[in-house]
Amino acid sequence: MPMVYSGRRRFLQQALGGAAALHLMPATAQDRAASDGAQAPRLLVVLLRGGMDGLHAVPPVGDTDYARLRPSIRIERPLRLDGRFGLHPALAGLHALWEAGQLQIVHTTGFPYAGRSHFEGQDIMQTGLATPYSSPSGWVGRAMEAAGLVEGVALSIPMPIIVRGSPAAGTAYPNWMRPVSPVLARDLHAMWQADPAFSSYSERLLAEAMQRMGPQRNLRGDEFREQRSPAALARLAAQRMSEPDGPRVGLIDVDSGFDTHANQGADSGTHATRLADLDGIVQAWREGMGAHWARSVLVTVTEFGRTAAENGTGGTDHGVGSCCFVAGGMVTSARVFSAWQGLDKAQLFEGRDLPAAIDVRAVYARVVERVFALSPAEIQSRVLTHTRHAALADLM
Amino acid sequence: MAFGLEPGTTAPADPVAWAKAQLTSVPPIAILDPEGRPRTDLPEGTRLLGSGPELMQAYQTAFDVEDDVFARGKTLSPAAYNRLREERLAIPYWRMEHWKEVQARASTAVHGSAPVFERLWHFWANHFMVAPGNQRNDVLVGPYQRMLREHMTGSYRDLLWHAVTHPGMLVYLDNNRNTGPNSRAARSRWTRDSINENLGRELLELFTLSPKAGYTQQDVEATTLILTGWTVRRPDRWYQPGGPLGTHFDYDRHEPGGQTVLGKTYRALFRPSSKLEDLVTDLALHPHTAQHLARKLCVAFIDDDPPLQAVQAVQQAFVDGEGHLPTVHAALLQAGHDHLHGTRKLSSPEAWFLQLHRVTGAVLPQSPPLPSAPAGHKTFHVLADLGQALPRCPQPNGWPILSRDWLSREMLDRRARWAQLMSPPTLRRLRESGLSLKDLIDRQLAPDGADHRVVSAALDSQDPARALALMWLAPEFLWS
Repeated sequence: MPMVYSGRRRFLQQALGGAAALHLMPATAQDRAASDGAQAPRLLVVLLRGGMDGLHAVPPVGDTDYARLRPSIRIERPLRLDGRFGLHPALAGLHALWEAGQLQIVHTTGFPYAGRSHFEGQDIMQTGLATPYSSPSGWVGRAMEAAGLVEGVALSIPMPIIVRGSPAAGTAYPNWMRPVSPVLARDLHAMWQADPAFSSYSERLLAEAMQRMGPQRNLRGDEFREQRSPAALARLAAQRMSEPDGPRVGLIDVDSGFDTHANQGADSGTHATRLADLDGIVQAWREGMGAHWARSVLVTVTEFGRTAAENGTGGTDHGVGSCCFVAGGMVTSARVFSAWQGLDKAQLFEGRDLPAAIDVRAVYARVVERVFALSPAEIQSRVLTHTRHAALADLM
Repeated sequence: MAFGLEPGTTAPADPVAWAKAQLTSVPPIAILDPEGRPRTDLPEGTRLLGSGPELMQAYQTAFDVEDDVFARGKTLSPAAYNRLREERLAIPYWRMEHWKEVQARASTAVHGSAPVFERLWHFWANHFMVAPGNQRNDVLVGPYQRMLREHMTGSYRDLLWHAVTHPGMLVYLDNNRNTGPNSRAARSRWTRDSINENLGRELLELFTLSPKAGYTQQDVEATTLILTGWTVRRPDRWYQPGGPLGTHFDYDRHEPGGQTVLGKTYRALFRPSSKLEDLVTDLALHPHTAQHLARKLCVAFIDDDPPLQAVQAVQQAFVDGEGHLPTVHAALLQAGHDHLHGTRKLSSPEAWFLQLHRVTGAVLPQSPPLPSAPAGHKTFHVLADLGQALPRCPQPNGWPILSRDWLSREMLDRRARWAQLMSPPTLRRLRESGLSLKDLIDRQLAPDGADHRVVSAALDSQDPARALALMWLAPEFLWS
């Protein structure tokens, strides 16, 4: 793959003149951004849309109710974690990180939302607010803005809400079409700069066109498909994020597939395949980050968990609590954090769902604190309002 | 509300009347050539299937073929298996099936006679999303979506009924296996299937009330029970020849007794299937449904933040006409016209792509995804490259309807790249047709506007290809 994006930000500054580029950054944030650079921590956020089943990914093997609730979809051969919990066999890469003391898992966690709607839930998981559709910006975007970051990248065509709210957030995705010519880009810039919807993009597009980024060579169908696989996107993310002044934030949007109402499978099957995608992302990103791995962390985000019991069609319906993975070189011990109360009906939320006993926003707040060096108070007020939980004291 | 004016045609004197005239009859849909005639150069297997028994035959064949390929695969080398899979599954089911449907949708929008109707169909097919990727449902998607057209001239209640009970929807949202725990089939252990909430939840959330109505998990569960037994019959090995094919209400799988949704109890007095009929009627006419749909239509067609008056006008039309869709659509057209100033919508990638072709007479990519066909772009691949991979919508809530969700660096860059690619061949076609690019630009962009100045300057500098690309990318063209 050609290094189409290398040094883009440097070039952006040259192409537009230093002053123009600095407008991208609020003045107050410039000092903090000075710490941005080769040594600064990197964060990869992985969106798992559709509702990842926490009891499938991290089965509570020590709980006697587990097998009873899930006769046909329980995990038969989990990878060993700590006696209480196991790991789905499709997550071998995550398990290797566990063995290396670089994986922490938060279980019985989720957003403070029990409406069980995908679409409200996916809005909440991105905005971080308890009321759906109430904010145009996402918690990652706001963290980038608060930290004065100059670049973050979502490996997707659309701009997911979670990274909105910072002018530094961009998108990138493998493409076969010839780049826009400098002369067309110049005219586009002339037309678009007057329209507030387009102006923030036209500068970037112009800068990139001036750089004459080489076209992708013509890819065969299979190759092109492979380039867009979750693991390939993670490699692309790592390639850019491991550059000395590359983006400090990356985002991969696994945009469907976890919503397994029927025939979910167990050790293998539909849900397992999606977990294998996640594992592919983790492994590819880890390899690609190279020496930067020590200053890297990955977190997963999903809108809700699924019913504790399997439903009538070998699947699970929409639930509440799930689990969250925090993995990377910045993680220094293997732990499962939870507020586990068992799977007895009386302990389940509304008698059916794993509860979201730990506010997952507290997990993300901690990650944001470590990666962006923001104060807890600043995070509470500007980035992600959350409820602290005693169980998370040693997270990261 | 349409896809722009074709070259060589004049704008209607009364655009609202022109648009309203398209609301009361269902135009035909087919894979059309640039002259608006059904294409005659199509390979085999490109006939558009109807929703009757032949669809269930095709659905069964899809299962048989896949089973056969898997079975043979056990004794084949990986390379031979991949060839077999490519030839028998990937080409016919994963590519040609969707190519022909997308090609019909795109060419009917660009070359057909009722573009306003097509825009509204795109809205409803998006509202009642069914996408491939569940239970080998590739062949069901297109016929389901085209079936919706037939009900756009009636009431919302009927459209909703046909959407919810079509095999396409029953399979996509897993209701074909949704079985009452106290049904005869469950009690007698004829099946291990039981409850599946997928369709029940979306019926309330997406298709009618929306979560703003404040229904509860109990309402979702009761709706799901009312939906039990609504399944799909295909000619599989349990099928008895002569029996019904397609949507089937299987009383043996239905949860008996009454269920309460939003405080009203639905009981089967004489016909158990009447529970769902009554529930669908009540939901279709519920005030929250009118509110939800009026707002959604206005957001999709008028503005991300539509004027309250516009929403109220459409909502009132829905209530007064008891969901009569031509009345609702007419109110939407009128509201869009009344609130032209101060509102705007960014065209979706698909709408922009279609508009780009329609106003310049550019030829849609023609070539099917067959190894034997001439090389060339494929419409559905281009749409995917632009960010809207029809028909593979990732989730049941459809493609975004907010302008801001179609804005990103990648989205805009891709439109610019595609415009740059399409411009030279389109220019050649314009020349062949004797059409003037300058006239075209004058029609599309306000002559005294800033966009027109930039585009004209490119034309004056002897770079017509750039001028054409710029016209397609002008804010005036991107927004409507």
